[in-house]
Amino acid sequence: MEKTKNNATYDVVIIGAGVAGSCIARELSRFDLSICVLEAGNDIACGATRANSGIVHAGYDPKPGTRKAFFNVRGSQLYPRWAKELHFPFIQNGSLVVAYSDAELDTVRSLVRRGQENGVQGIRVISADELHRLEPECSTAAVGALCAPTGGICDPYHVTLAAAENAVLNGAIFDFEQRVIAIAHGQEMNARSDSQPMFRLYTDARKVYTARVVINAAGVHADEINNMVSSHHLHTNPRRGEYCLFDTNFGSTFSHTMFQAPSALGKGVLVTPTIHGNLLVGPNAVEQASKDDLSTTADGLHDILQRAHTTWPHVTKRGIITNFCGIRASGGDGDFVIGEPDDVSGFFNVTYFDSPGLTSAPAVAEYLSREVASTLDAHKRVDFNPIRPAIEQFSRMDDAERAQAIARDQRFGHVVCRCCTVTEAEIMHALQGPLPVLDLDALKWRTGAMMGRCHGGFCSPEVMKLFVGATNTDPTQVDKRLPGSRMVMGARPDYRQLIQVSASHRSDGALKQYAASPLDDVAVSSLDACESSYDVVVVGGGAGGIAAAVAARKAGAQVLLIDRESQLGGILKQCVHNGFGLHRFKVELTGPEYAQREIENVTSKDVDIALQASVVRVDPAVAQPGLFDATRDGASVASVPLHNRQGNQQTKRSLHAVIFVDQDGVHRVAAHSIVLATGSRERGLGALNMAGSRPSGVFSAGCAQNFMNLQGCLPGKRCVILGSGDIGLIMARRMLFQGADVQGVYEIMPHPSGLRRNIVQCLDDYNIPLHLSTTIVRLEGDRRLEAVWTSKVDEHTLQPIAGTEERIPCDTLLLSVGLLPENEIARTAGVELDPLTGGAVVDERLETSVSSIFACGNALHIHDLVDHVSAEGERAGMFAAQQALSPSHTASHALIPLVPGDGIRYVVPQYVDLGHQHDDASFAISFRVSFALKHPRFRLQRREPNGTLTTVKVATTMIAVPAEMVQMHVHVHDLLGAHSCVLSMESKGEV
Amino acid sequence: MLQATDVKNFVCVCCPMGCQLEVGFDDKGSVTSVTGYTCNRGKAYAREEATDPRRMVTAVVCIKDCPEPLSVKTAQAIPKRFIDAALTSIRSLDLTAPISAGDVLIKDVAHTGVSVIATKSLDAML
Repeated sequence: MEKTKNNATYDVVIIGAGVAGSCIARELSRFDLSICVLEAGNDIACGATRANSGIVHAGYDPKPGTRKAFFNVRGSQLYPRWAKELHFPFIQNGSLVVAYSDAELDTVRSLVRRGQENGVQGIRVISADELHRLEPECSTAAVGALCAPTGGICDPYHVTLAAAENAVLNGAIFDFEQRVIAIAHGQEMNARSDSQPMFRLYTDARKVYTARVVINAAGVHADEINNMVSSHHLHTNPRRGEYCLFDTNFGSTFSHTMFQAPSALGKGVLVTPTIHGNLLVGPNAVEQASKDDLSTTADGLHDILQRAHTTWPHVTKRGIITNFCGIRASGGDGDFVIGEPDDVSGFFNVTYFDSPGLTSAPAVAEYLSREVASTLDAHKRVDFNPIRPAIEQFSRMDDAERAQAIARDQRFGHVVCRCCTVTEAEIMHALQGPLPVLDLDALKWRTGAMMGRCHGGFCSPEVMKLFVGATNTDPTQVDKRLPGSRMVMGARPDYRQLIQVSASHRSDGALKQYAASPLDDVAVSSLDACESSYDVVVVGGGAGGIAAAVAARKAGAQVLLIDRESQLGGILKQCVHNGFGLHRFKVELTGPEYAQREIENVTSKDVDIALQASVVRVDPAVAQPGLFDATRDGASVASVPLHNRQGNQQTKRSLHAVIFVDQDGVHRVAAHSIVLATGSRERGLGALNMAGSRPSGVFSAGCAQNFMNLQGCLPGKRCVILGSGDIGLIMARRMLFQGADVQGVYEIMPHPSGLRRNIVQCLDDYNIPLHLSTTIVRLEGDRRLEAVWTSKVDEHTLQPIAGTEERIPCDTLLLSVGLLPENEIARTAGVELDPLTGGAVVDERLETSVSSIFACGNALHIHDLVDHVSAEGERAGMFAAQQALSPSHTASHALIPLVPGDGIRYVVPQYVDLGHQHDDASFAISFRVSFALKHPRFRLQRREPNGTLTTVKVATTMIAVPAEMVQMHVHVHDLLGAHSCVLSMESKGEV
Repeated sequence: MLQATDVKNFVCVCCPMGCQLEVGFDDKGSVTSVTGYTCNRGKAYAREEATDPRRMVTAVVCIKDCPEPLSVKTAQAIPKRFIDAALTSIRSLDLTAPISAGDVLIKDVAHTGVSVIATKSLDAML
């Protein structure tokens, strides 16, 4: 092999680093051949491989005798071995093809026969009864199904990555951003000295590659490559397939891949769990002219959800975390075209490689590698290593494995992506892996960071920092996905030098006061061992958590406060604007100043503080020690409704255990009481199910705030804001102050959702227009955002009004569309959540359904003022300390539900527990109203056991609006003996 | 002949009521009337917005040797018309860590008599 700067020669050049090209490279690397894979994009799996259903098909679908049938069945047989050798995740979850009529059942029967003819093992028809036993969520309209136990699921990106890395390990070269634009061969080359075919490939990066054999695995572009050398022209008909991806909370809805029986109306859509535990719904199949346009459409997304309804009657938009579109390389008579065209030898096609291409790739690779080896008379290498080491995934390790990993590499103790539990070590390993990481999406796909429910809102600034540090790239040159999809549009010129220096002088957290040594491996695996115990452990060091820790300490408790960042203060650190503290400190402060006061308070109070420490779960106390095993793995804890809460057994109290990781290892700390102050996350793009492409430049407002105020990077220069929440309004002014143009703020509701003060001082002062009853329906731009499409909405239905769309050119979209309580830790403890608030169900002491676990702040319900978060934190901390020091709880007590009535959206607390011995005879209830009302009357009524209603009290404010929380005080003695209480809002006149 | 005098309209920001405030002036520009308010806070707000509107200014600036930007604010609200000038002065700050919250960075920003102060403490990285 000779190689100069712009010229390289290989035995084999493979065009395309999708699943086909990468699998072929892997199989060819078994032979003594020099191999180079040329990829037009900047990562593996950029085309059809990136976005599809991820199904390893059993092989009952293709017509017997076709290439699809042959390679599908062989591929399906190869997957288990490939998964084992290459360590990519693969599960044979089984496929079901469900029939909803007798005609469809006939189709299913003929598919079973076809499968048997194709050689699919174990395929059979199952009855409706068996179907519903297997899949209770499946529509009761189903009359039977095909069951193919060998059907499986995988992550196509990881299959490709594993094969590509294994190929590299065995000597293959991958060159990215090399789009082949011309191929010369045969007589054109004028250079045939022997009988071997020769090709010269020219790329758009002005490089020239010479090869004896070319393999065309260029996906949707494979027709163009073929047509450069063969007179037998091919023509790809790109087909779009759109999908909706649901949160992992929905992942267990179905265990099998659920197909619909094909009918005259089409193939139907599938509903399937994914290998990552999500639920996937789709695809449709729409022919389109473009090979590269991956935009989703509102109609397409609506259509697939509609059709999924047949399988999954409970499907709604709720829980969708993203939608996406894939492209399929369909064409010809519907079968693959594989091998040499008869007019060019040494040129092998893998074309029209649509479904079941993913399944078939290993089989095609096996076949073509033998063909090529025989063409080139190559021999098998004795040193071929079929094993590609597994990627170490912290999220999949148990405590002992985590402890070992951190002992080996401290960076495993630093959780960067909290949603998917991805550590710094995994990100750095990916950055230093066999294949280059050229954009942030490559990190996302390889590690799972930024893939979770916050859409990277929390961790993308930190992931970018790691990327900059490892690759020495200027932040303004960092791409999100594809070359030119810049993450940020401004940064200080010395940013990367500073990041590199700071990475080498990483502080251990100046405030760190928690110094107990972590458990060793043996101790971690023993369930009872805890390294230390506290009266109160507070999870989360924002405003609520700090206040809780201080209050608990004041009440005499020994307290541990745990936070994931290197400084306390939570989100206040990035809220550099003023407007905080008027209630708590009687003076107007900025966020960092408010945080500083709170930090000084807690650090002077003899509270232990663990920083850069991520709580991974809470093992709740269980009265009977025997049950402890069953609840160890948080996921298996069943949610206990609060009204069934078990009182602590006074005879033998067991303690909760808080498990957290930091750079010293895995810690297991016993706690009499726990306060969950885990804050909230922003609603993301996925929740909006917006159509269009997926360019960079779309940020949640808080994420942009972090980039700007903590990283000193300018997210964009021409900005549009969706949602008139306070963070969005504040960011409009902030972007303007830092030099960006702000085109306008769009609000779907007929009224603004932020405070009026912010409308005046952030928008009106600077003539930034606020467009009410208007939303954004579509994004445009395949790299960086180029424009958004707005649409007026109907005031009542909030649905877009056709014909009112307007294109607004911009490079940045900030989303300020609401906050959601963050309760992943609460879930591990089995805490019951309220669907109205998204937070825990609590009693008046803020105690959750799990005894001695308390909740406060935005984790409990979304607040509009931090002052109220601090006040709530104090209450939670005080009661947590009381509970720990002198447990007042008795097993028999009366819980009175507090129910939201007319005009009230939610009430916190949801219960009053009269089993408590109250020092204070009154408590505050917090609530939000459903609509704006001037001079409202809030009426609290008690319902007697016999059903009669009596008014307990009536209260008022000047006005009530959904954007502002209302509080009122209630006397406990007013509620004694009631069956339940109802709070409602009415107009003044009705009283 | 009747002499028409100026009025200015505002939406009150003191609470979510959003009262429509109207401030009347005499021909010398002095406030003669405030109407439309529901409470005294609204009355005071209308008078101030009509005669001397002021705003707090907050911003972030880069400082030497520290990747995290410094957050700053005006110590008091400054007249609205000086916001741009204040931002320009803040942008041209040339600062080096360490800096403590409360440090005065600009004494008399845009000749308003108001200083610009740091709102967080930053240590030098090394």
